[in-house]
Amino acid sequence: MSADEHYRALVQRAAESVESLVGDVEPFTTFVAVHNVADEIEKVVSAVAERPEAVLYKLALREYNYALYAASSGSYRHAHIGLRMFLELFSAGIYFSAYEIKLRSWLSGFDGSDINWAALSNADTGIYSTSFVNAFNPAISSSAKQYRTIATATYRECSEFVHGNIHTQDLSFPPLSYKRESLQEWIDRAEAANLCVLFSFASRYLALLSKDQLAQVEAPMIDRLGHIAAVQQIYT
Amino acid sequence: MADFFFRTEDIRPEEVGEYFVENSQDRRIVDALKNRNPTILVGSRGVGKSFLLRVAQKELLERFDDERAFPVYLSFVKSSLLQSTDPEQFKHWMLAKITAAIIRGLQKQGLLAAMPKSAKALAGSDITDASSTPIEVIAEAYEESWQKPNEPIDTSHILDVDSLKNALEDLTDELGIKRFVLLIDEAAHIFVPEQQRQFFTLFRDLRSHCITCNAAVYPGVTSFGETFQPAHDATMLSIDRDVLAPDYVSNMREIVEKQADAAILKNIAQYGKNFSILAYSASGNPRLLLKTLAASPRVNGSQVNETVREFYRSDIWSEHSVLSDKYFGHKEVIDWGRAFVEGYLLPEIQAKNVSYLAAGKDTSAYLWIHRDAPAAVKEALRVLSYTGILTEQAVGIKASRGEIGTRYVVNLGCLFALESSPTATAFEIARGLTPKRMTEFGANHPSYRSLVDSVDKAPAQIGGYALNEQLEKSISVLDITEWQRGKLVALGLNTIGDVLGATEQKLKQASYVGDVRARRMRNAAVAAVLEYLSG
Repeated sequence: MSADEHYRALVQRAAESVESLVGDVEPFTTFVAVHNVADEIEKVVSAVAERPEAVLYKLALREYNYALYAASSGSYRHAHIGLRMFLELFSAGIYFSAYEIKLRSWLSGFDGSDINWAALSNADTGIYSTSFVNAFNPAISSSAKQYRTIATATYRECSEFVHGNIHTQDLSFPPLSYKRESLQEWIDRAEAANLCVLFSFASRYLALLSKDQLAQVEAPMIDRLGHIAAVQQIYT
Repeated sequence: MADFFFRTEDIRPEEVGEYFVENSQDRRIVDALKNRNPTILVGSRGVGKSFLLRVAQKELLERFDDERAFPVYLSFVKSSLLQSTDPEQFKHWMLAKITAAIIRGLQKQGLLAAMPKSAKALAGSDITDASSTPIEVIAEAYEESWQKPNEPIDTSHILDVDSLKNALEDLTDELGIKRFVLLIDEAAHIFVPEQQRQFFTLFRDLRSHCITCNAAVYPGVTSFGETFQPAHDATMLSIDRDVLAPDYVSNMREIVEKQADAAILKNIAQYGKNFSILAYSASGNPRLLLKTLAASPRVNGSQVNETVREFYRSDIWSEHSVLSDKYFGHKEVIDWGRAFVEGYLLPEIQAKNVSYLAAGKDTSAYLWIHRDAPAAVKEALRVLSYTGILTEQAVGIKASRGEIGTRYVVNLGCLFALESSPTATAFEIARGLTPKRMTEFGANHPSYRSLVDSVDKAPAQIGGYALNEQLEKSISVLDITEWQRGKLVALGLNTIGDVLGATEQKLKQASYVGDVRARRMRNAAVAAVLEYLSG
């Protein structure tokens, strides 16, 4: 098989995986639901598009879309890698929004300005810390610890795919082929990541948005975070 | 189904800190276990007694270099296996267990490398770290006596209580230890009063400046013997998490967060109210919460409704009802307890709550029993407390007409399970609870009559426990996961006796998924067997 035939065959297998997914009605429905979240996050991001850190949200969204593509084509490890990067980039945007000098260092590519998950999720100083959330939206700070736990668990579970931990390996299963259980696990983590990203957005910006901006993000905020009384309160 | 640790035995002792969610009550208990005064920790199954003993052990070990208090954890869960001809088997076995546990603990910490003379006296010989000491051999011989009941056991190496105290005193001097802190789990068998008496007598007799005894027991252990006085010889602490505390739900959620994966955590966040209902239903018992959460991982309304109804209408009662099969001498009392709760108590409280909620009033889950209620009724309440269906809240409470009695709270899950849709009503019931509303049962309530009559005809037998019959029972009675049950069956281990008699190697063959799962599988199977046998 020539190189071009080889890669065409891979594309063909990925296409077959997509077909299998589409034909499996129940999982496809939940997949479409997490696919639709990309649109919600886009709305959220566009509400703060003028801010200097918005570039990270756009990069994060790109990774989320790539993760969706990888998941649909049966490449579950890479779907997890993309999901982790989505979570990390979005969280970094939230973090940098409070530390402009770090944002500028990162955008300039200075040494030592790498994104560091441990710093982003730090219990005392990270984006889910009480002090951080209190600074921008104290009404929801009592929920911050719970979302930090979810974010940490999601990041850890995705990292197991990055590191190739044994339980993420399945030699009996060919890559680029549809597997219902693997897809469902990824969807669960994608839902968790989306929830965390939206919470971090609410904690950083929701109390500071204009009336128009609030209207722009109303649907994702109420649909995803409506169980938090303080979020509901903003819209009543 | 989510893969949670349901029992402390499944967690490595050095890892308990990772799962510890500290609240003020837990901290008070752990501190009490660590200090000089003996403590008796009381709580029903699954509330976390073993866990707190392990936390105390870990914290004492971490501070050992500075404080020189040496913790020794041991469990008497195997007491139900003692079947030797030795009339003092329980006392001898306890002494052997304590001695062996101290030696092993010291060895594990590297404190016995110098081999003090006093250690030899304890062990009955020189100690080599790999093989069993004679004292361990004795303890093991008692524990295997269910297999060979007529085989005599050589007890010559067992020290009497005074010699044990002297040896430990010498050991503290030679090793620079200030005191040994004994943390004795599953200390007294609920249905064997004689074992309870012997245990508490030993507990009292072991008191010394270099030994602090602590023990975990079930509610309803009331036979203390002649020398032990609960109020004077130990601090009695209950491990009942208060469902009325403002941080109750968040505290229970944090316990879950230590083990749950991202998917469940996300579902808990989205369906917080449903999770609260599971937490309230568990009535402060983490094991019940983890089990019901494992059965409803999506935490949505339909799953939670089904789980609450299934688990609290039938599953929780299976443990209670199985007691009457095992302890046939107590059958009338055990069966009446269930009939009383299901037939009288729950429907009455539920009906009251319907009218309370309709009128915007506070709700109830409380009952009050007159102090002069028949002894058989009190015995039934004791068993209900043991299985966690009821929790004793306060004695000497005045009810209507100034009568004195005891207040209990019924397991909230059992109450919610009567609701047609628990997710619609349970949260409001839980949030409105007040102990001021009690359903009162006087000294001669009509519901007692059937029990009093049957006990008059056939007084309860003490003991009434046939180990051999239990060993022949199918493993279907064990509280293990379907996966674990499948593995045991695949190995040809079909009865309780098969599992108990299986070697570790045999059980390890069941697992091809790595050491952690193998350990959990093995521990879970044996722990479930011992839990079943111990009541």
